[in-house]
Amino acid sequence: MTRYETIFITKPDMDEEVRKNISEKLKTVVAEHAGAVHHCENAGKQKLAFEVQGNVKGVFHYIGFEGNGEVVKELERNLRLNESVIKYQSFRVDGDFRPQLVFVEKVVRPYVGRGRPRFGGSEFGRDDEFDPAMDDGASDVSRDGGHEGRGPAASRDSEERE
Amino acid sequence: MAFIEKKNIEKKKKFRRRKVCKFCADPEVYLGFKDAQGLSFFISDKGKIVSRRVSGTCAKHQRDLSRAIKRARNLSLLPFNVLNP
Repeated sequence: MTRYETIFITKPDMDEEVRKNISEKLKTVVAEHAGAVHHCENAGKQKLAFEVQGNVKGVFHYIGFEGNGEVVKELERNLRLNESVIKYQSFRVDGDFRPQLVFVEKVVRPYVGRGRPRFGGSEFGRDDEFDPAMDDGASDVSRDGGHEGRGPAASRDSEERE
Repeated sequence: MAFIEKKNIEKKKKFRRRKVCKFCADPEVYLGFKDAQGLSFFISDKGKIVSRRVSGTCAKHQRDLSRAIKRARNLSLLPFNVLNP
């Protein structure tokens, strides 16, 4: 018996009952093939990263189950036949199930253009583990980032002016 | 003027902070396709996967990372490309 998880996305403008029916159907499919459902969760309506079949939003569902390869095959066949399912994907699980989905709420993208960081230093490593042996006196640049040195250089200039 | 600029460049190179793999530094951080917020840190504003050279991720975790990003893209959690960022 192998652990699998399937994530599928349904159309946003659907009744709650229809959605429940799909989950129930999938549960019976797993049970018919001598499998066991461990998790069946609804992660809620979310904005998609791109338009899928004309839908800007979608409702995410998670199913974690145990079984053989035949279960996955049959499950995916059922999802393919259902017109209200716009996307699905199955994965093998190594270890424990993890039904939590974390969606992009606030876009954090430090890399702009050709991969140049917008800021440096603290976001990449841990500043508390800063090794004082690595800096030889002139520590301003290395401690405050040192990727492009824009921030620290500006502060140094102002100090000199004063 | 040119002399000063050259000196500054040398200084920057000499004291550049060593990049640390984010996932080696803290092994409890979840690295998988389900954490789209965390993965969005490792894609550029055009939607490309950021290279190891830039982000400082180690080879093992970069492999896991690229797999996770591709899975997240397939589930429309992350964009394949961003036009006019």
